Amino acid sequence: MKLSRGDRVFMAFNYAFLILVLLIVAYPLIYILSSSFSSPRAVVAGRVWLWPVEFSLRGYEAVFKNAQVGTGYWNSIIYTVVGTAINVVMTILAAWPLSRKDLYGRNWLMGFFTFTMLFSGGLIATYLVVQGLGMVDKRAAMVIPNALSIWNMIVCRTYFQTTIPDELVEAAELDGCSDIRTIWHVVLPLSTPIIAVISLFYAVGHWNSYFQALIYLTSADLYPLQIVLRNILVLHQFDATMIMDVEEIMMREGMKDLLQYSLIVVASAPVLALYPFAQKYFVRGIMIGSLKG
Amino acid sequence: MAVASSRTTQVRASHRTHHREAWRRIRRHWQLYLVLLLPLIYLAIFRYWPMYGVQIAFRDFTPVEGITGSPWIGLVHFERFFNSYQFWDLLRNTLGISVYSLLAGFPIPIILAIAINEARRYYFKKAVQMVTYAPHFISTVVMVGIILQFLDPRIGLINKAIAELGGAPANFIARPDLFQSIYVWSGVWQGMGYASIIYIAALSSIDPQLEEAAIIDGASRLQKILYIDLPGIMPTAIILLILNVGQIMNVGFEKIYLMQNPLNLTTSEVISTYVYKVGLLRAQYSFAAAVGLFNSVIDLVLLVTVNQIARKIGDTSLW
Amino acid sequence: MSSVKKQLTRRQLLRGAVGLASGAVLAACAQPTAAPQPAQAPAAPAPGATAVPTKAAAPAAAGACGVTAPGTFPVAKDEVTLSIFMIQSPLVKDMPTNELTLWYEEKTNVHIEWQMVPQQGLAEKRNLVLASGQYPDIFMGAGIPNEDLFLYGQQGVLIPLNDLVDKQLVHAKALFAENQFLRDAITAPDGKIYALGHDSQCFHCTMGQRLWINQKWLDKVGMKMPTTTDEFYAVLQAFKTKDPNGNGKADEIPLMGATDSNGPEIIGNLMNAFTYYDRAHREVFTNGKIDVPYNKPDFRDGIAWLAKLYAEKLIDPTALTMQAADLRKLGEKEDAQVLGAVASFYPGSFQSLAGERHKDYAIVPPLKGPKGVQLHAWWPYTAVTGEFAITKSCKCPEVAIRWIDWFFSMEGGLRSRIGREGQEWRKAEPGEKGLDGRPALWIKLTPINEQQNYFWGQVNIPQQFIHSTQSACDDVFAACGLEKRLYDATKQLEPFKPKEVVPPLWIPKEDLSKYAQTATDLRQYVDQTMARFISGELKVDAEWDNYIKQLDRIGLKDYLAIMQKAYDAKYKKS
Repeated sequence: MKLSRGDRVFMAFNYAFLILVLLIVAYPLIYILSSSFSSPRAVVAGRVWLWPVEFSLRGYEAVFKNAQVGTGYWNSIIYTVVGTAINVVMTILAAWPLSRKDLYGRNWLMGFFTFTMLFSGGLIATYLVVQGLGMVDKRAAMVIPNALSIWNMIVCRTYFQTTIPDELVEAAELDGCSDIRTIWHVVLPLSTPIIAVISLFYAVGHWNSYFQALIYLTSADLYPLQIVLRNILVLHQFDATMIMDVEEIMMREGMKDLLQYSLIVVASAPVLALYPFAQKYFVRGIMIGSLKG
Repeated sequence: MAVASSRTTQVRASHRTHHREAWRRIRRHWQLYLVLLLPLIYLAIFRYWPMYGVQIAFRDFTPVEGITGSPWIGLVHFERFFNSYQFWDLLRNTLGISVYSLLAGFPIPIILAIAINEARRYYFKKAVQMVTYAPHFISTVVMVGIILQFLDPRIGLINKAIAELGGAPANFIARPDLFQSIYVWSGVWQGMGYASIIYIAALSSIDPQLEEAAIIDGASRLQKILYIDLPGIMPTAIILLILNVGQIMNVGFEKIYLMQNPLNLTTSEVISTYVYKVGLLRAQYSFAAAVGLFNSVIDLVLLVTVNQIARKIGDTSLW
Repeated sequence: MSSVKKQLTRRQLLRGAVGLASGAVLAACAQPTAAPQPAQAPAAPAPGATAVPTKAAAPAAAGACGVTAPGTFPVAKDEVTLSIFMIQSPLVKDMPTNELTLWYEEKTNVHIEWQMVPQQGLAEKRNLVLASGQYPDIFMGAGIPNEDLFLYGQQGVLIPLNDLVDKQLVHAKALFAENQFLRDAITAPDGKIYALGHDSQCFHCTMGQRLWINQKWLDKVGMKMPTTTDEFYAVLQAFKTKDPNGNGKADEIPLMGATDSNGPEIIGNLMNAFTYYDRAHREVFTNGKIDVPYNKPDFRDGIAWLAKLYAEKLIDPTALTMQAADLRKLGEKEDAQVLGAVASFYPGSFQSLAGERHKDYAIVPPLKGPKGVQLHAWWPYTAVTGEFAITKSCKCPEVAIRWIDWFFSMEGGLRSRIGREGQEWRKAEPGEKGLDGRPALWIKLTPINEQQNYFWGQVNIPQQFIHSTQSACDDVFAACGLEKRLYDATKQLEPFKPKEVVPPLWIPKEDLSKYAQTATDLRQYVDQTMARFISGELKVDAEWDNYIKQLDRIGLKDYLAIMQKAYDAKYKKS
């Protein structure tokens, strides 16, 4: 299709805009990446601007030398995978019925769900409930108390309401599909974009979660990555009065600053790698073929 | 319908019809209620059962006495909070930052999503998405470190540029009038990519036939965006707007705390940082709970209001 | 690793088992006399092992808590299990398998169930444990603040340790006896000790607000170390105008500080030439009553002087917004050395200790102000409290208290903080000197660097003997001489300490909320307003009265009254 002149101008502006955004966002990211590969002294003295200064892997060494990093990664993967699966199921189970306009009591039910976004019993009461269920210091505490995010559920519900045409649902009903079968055969196949999105959101939430683990877990072999990484950070607090020789000072000074950067890279690399997979599902044309026939 | 002679019969009849109608709907969709059961159970156990903890706000809580064992003192914490000499400043700053964030941060992810959607080159699109998504993972400490370094009067890039152009370097972080802008725009920078994801997904589910039809009809890209894309993602946008209004009092604490200094406190002290500082002296669970409850009530009022407005104007709303 | 629930059950089982076992012993021994008389144990010819517990009136545990004589090992006659809630030192790999743990368990005959908590969530976790009602036997290094100690002690959750210390301890008891500050610090207003503590014995920490000046620059501009505020003013001017770093640019920063911690804060460092002011502990005594200095005319003079310095750019404009961590970036600037005088805990905060520049900085002794005031901020209460507390869940408090005793000895302290003798440290030879010139007692052999599993780390164990007796070298600019450098520097400040300071107070529960909020409000308002006065945003002359009025509106009077009440409760009696 030929582009009109107006359209070409528009596209030019569009690309310019995106390139600008790319540069603005990319620069600090490059800075972080470069800092993580620099020496502690260079980082602390603020000498890193674009490229690594005094290239060194000390930041990464400090991280991977720690025996618990492996367990941390493994635990985080478990919590993320299991947690996200539970999340997605729960979300769809709640979002679909609530998206049906003819569900009797829908507004009340929505209120029931939404209320919990605003009001909460607080840390202590929630902890006592979790403890009462015997989940403290168990993996379950990382995936069950947070099984449903009302926010994500509402986003999912909105998607169902706007993207799944009522005619389709009616057609399925006429064909003899029960509500549950409708979900399985009609809703799910059409919902790949939103499932991809909320899976991503939930997964990122699990991966980055820190406070939950801090409160509910005490055994070190259950710790997720974020806790292990922060412990490494604390380990490298520089206390000059406990160090005896200059060499050691040279080695340790600034480690904490350097580590801040390396930790970001170590922690977020897996999730960043995840994104392209989710991206695949934001594919156009899912609706083609569903309405026909 | 049967002819009704008096009004009461009419009313009673319509009630009966209403009830019958209701039961009919329930029976027809009984499976949906079954499906809802699991999430409802989850809510009951993990959200509603702990709500008894709300009373901490009305008690003089110590962990040892427990929630129900601590003495009841009623509204004392609330009064103390309202009577603090900082109360109005806190409220003003918190709402100011929130509303500013909303106004600035709301349209940008939408614009970004549309721009990405319009781009044709596949790898470029993917690259932009990936890159803009990444800042979400930068920890708050590092983020603030970068901001402060960027704005530093001596070594910061901005001031260096100003110096090159012949101007005098300024200590931006010291200025109360700039604090909110710095906070909000750095937040937009960090979050816009992540926030645009939902819009990208919404855009991708707009029926491409509609778009093709528009183009065949001779619409320019701009017109297509205005008349097809935007309306297509409008429900999502409105819902997100409503949800964000419902979180308006929840200005996060860590980033602001790290950016505060004595000179910008007049605009940088918000409710969450204040509660944190009071709690530093002693774990003031009750005080924090009272303030939290206050925040929630305000959130609720605003949420309901905006939802009502949304209902009046269009047909997308939370309930 | 055991979960909270699991270890409780295990502990209960264990105690039950021990109880049964000793019950069997008792029964076996009591048989000859009168079987159905459980409480009359002393009369029964049972061996002495079970004599102690009967007075504790704890049924199942009777006979399970036998302790040996104070100062001897093992500690418990029959194996006892204690649960300990402790802060996790990042230096320690794994407490249950730690070499020291295993060795000590054998030595004492006490098995420990560890509940380790990372530093970040410590307060929350502690409060959650207390709220859940399932207390560990011991809280160790859990950072319990004084007010909580008092509260929990009065609520009966923590048991008073006075008798236990007197009767059971050897090392700790000696320490408390000879250090009155320490004994004071750990005693609550009701006279009871609810948690043990230790004195960090860090001499230079008692005067942590310090001012350093670039001696090289002083020489360059031909001036002597300033002794009065006027001389200091002249020096700063010289730094600014005479280009002491010799690069032709007026890029020198005469006076710099930071704002996010107490050490590098400028006001605290310079105000003492006008009136006594310790930024970390702001209350003072005026005519025997607790008061604050920051609403007095002398303080106002100090602020006015600082505002003048700021206006003339002698105090750097960024000093009021600088974060301490960023001072380094300035100090390490490659093109030139730019820092003249810096308020800081030690030169390492703004210069790399591995470099050369830090050697240029010397301590500035307190300046004398226009009215002859010459003081320095001093805080002698370096005791760390709330280190070791025993809860009412503990069935064997005697065992628990005996268990910690050894760590208060030099041997125990070194073993748990530094490591094994001969490997991580060794005894000092005669002739090797400590910080204060006296003979050193021990020398560190290897750096404490990595995660390891043979000692318990640097926190929560009494830190006696570490600072004052560790050997130091004479070269104060070498890394090993850092402690000595700070020691010497502080020696110069020492003559100017005030006669007395307000000691740490224990605020009772009923005043705590009000105290916390008012303290926060006051602190914030003062810091904010002082910064605005100095930066010139608010004019001192015009706004001072408003400032005073606002202080009263915030509740200064009530705040002081609360503190006075707490002070009288604890100190007026003795």
